[in-house]
Amino acid sequence: MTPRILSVVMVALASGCASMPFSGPATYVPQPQAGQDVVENPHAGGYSLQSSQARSVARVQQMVGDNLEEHGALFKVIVLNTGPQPVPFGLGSISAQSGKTPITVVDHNKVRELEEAKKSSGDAMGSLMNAGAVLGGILSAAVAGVAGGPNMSQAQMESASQSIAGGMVGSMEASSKATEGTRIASDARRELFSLVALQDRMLQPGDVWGGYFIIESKRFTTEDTMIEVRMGAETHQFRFKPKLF
Amino acid sequence: MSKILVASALSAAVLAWSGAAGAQTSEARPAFLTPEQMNQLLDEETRRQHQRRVSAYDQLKGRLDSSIGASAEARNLAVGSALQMVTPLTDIKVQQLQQKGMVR
Repeated sequence: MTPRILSVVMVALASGCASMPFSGPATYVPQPQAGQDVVENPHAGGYSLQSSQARSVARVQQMVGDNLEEHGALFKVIVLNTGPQPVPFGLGSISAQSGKTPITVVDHNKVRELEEAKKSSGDAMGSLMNAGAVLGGILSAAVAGVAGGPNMSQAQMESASQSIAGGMVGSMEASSKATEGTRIASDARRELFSLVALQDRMLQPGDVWGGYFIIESKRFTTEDTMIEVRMGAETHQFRFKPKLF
Repeated sequence: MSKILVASALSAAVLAWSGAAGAQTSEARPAFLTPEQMNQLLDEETRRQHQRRVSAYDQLKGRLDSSIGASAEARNLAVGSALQMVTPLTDIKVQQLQQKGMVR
C-alpha cells in the first residue's frame, strides 16, 4: 500500500506543478492613450487597442487561455502600411517594458531554449517519482517484515512481495508516461509557435500583416507594461495595466 | 511630314511616361484609403489570423493535450483505477474558437 500512496503523492505533485493556477502570465487591461481606439475583435472575442499615425495603423490584443502562455503573455498584432514607402516588419519590430525594465519578446530561439528547460525539469520530476516508488517499495517491505514477524507464512510473504513489486512497477510506469507526455507536448508547443508567430515581411504601401508574439511577463507585477510596435519611422505605444485579481 | 512624325512620337512617349508614372503613383499612395477601407483591411487580417490560430490548434490538438492525457493516465496507473480522467482540453478550445468565429 505504501508505494502506491507515495506514487500517488508524487504523481499528484508532478501534475500539480504542471498545471498550477498561479503559474500563468499576467492578464492585462488595455489603457487607451490619446489618439487610440478600442476595437472589438469579432472573431476571437475581446478588444484590441488601435493606434493610427500618418503612415501606419497598428492593433494589439492579448490572447488569453493559450498553450503558449507557458512562456509568457501572448499578444496578437495587426499592422497596415498607409505610407508611400515599403516598411520591414516582424518580431524585431516589437519591444516591451514593465516600468523601466525591458521585457524579452520571445523569438524562435527563445522558445526552443524554454522548451528544452521544461523537458529537463520534466525528466527530473520523472526521476524523482521513480525514486519515490523505490523508496515506497523499501518502506513497504520493511513494514511488511515487521508487521508479519515470525508468524507470517511463506505464501503470505510471497503475496506481500508481489504486491510491493507490482506497486513499484506501476509507479515507475506512471512516471515514464508523464515524462513522455511532457516531451510530446513540449515539441507540439514549439510547432504551435512556428505556425502562429509573427513572420518577417516587407510591407508594401497598402499592405496589411499580422501574427502573434509572446512577452516574458511574470504573473505578479504592479507596474504598467508598455508594448512598442515600430513601423518605419513611426512607433505605436500600447499601455497595459496588469490585472491583479 | 517628318515634323509631324517627330511630334507624334514625342507626344506618344509623353503619354506613355505619364501613364506609367500615374500607375506608380496610385500604387504608392495608400493614403487614398478611407478610414472605412483601412478598418476593413485590418478586420480582414484579424479574421485571417484567427483562422490561422484555429487551424494550428486543430492540427496539434492531440499532441498539445498529451501531457494532460499522460498525467491522467499516470494517475490511473498509480491509483490502479479504471477511471478515465483524460479531458481533451484542446478539442474544447478549438470548438470554442470556431464557434466564436461562426457567431458573428
